[in-house]
Amino acid sequence: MTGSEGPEVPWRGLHPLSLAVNLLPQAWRTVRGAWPLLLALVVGGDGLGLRALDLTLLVTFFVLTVGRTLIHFLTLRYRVADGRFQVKVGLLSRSARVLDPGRIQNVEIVQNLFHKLTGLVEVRVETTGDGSSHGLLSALHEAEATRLRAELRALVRAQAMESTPAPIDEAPPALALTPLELAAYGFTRRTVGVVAVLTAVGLELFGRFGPEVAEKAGRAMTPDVLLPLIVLAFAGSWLWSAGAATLRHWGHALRFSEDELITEEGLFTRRRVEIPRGKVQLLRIDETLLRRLMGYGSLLIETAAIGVADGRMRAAEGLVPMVPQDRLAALCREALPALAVDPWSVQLQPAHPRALWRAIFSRTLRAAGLCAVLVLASPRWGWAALPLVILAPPMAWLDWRRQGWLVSPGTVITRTGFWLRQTWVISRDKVQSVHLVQGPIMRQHGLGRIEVRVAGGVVGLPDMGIHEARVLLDQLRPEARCAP
Amino acid sequence: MTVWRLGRLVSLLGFFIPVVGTAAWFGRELIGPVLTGVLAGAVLLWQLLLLLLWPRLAWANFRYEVREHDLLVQSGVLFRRWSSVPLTRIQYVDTEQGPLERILGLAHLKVYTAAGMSADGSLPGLDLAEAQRLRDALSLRGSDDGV
Repeated sequence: MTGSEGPEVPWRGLHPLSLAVNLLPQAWRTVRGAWPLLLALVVGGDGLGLRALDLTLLVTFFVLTVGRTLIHFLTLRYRVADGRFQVKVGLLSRSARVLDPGRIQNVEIVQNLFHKLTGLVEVRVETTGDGSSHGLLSALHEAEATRLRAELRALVRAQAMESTPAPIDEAPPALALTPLELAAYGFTRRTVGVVAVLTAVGLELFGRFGPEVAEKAGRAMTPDVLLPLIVLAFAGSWLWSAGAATLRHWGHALRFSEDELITEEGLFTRRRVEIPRGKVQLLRIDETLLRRLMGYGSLLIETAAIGVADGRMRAAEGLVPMVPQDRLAALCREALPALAVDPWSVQLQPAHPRALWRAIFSRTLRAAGLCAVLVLASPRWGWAALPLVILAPPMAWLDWRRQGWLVSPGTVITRTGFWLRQTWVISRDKVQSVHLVQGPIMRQHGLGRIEVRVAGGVVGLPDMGIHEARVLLDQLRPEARCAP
Repeated sequence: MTVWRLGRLVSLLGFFIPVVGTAAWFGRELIGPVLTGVLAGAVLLWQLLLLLLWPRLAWANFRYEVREHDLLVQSGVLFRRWSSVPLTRIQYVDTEQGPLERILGLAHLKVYTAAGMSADGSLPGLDLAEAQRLRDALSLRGSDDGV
């Protein structure tokens, strides 16, 4: 049923060792799906009837895990035929998908510890659409993965009617990061959330030990104990973050070929992401204050693919953790050729002067709300959040001062933030829709805010005058790109 | 406007009155019957006002126009929104009819681009024939998805 004149292309399957490699991930998926039952098993009683129930649950868990792995191995088949990548999988609920090469956003090759031991890799062929990796081939031999990758790349090029460029592996790395730079990346990530969660868990645990222990602990929490504890918590979370970042991005290298950009990284789990340059939707550059002071920024490259990595939606398809500031503009231009200006040296349009009052109002309101909740939750310690309310207006001013935007012939650039300075660059020919939003306070001040949607996300421009925003609403359409 | 008004009535009867009633039942022990009565009354009065006024305001502020290159939609009462969806970027167009809309012969038109799961353009309360005409006309216009 291929419709081609030649012999039918045979379907290929996963490597037999995938049974071993996939067992743990499948077990994890089963645990995630049946965690209430397993929790009941752990905390349940130990009567005779309950023991029988526990045994039944354990056997069910084991059978489900092994069964899923076996079915996945036996039913997953893929091939490249009729110029398309085809995948089918499933026994009771079958799914078959045909991917047009032109829809492929990026190809990712992942090798975790089990893959390494068995000489296999996981291939993820990602397209735009829902959150699944449509072409997820969980365990292929490295040689087969290389063959498949080459075949897909040839298809994409044939569709684009391009000549064959030089093999990408010959391109030297445009940027290679040292372990020290990777540790610095982890060190400069925000860890306040982690500390807050750990603190909450700690308080909850004290509560579990009974009122006497909680009361004793409360009395012991004098400022001279609390301050070192806070410092220790932050130091610990920073060290953890630095270690995790070093392992995850170990040996990070970024390469550019004629039509693709490739990132490779990871010590235990090795990842290789190949992104066709024409598929890049937007760039985001994160510069936390510490990272800025060190002279670095992080570059995130988004395509239209909605990827799932390690069971959660991931932030970006391509991430360059640490880029020296003097190379940021050049790398952005390599990733997004439509970018004709240097976003760090060009004069951006500032946020509207009246936007300052809205920024002060909303930031102070949020800080006051948080403070009120904390005071209600803990009348003794909640007042510690009062400085947040006092600092809200100057912080809003700092943030407002650093906002900026620019619409150039090929791109839209926007920047926000003081502690975390973020710069977005969107290719204008990728704009999907443009929205102008105006709340009641903005209406009073004659302001409006433009949101630009591309397939990789939504980017908001700083507040501007409503008339200017109305002009932009029309100007940012793809058809208006070449208009004078 | 009738659909929006009926929708608010359903949410008032099916959600707000039971929730406020339950909260008031438990709240009178904590903050006293007078304050509970005042708070519950205020919430219900606010919802009643929304039921009477909001649909008219929402309808008065809702506009759409199919222009040469894009679909322009204006909506919102407190928070106003103007959405410009280039016709070439439209991936697909849906018409949806809930039970109330089916009774009144109306439909909700949703326009999707490659930008994500939610609709970039949303036109509620269209006459069914007009919604179907728009759906067919807009579906034919997409050519370059920009992806």
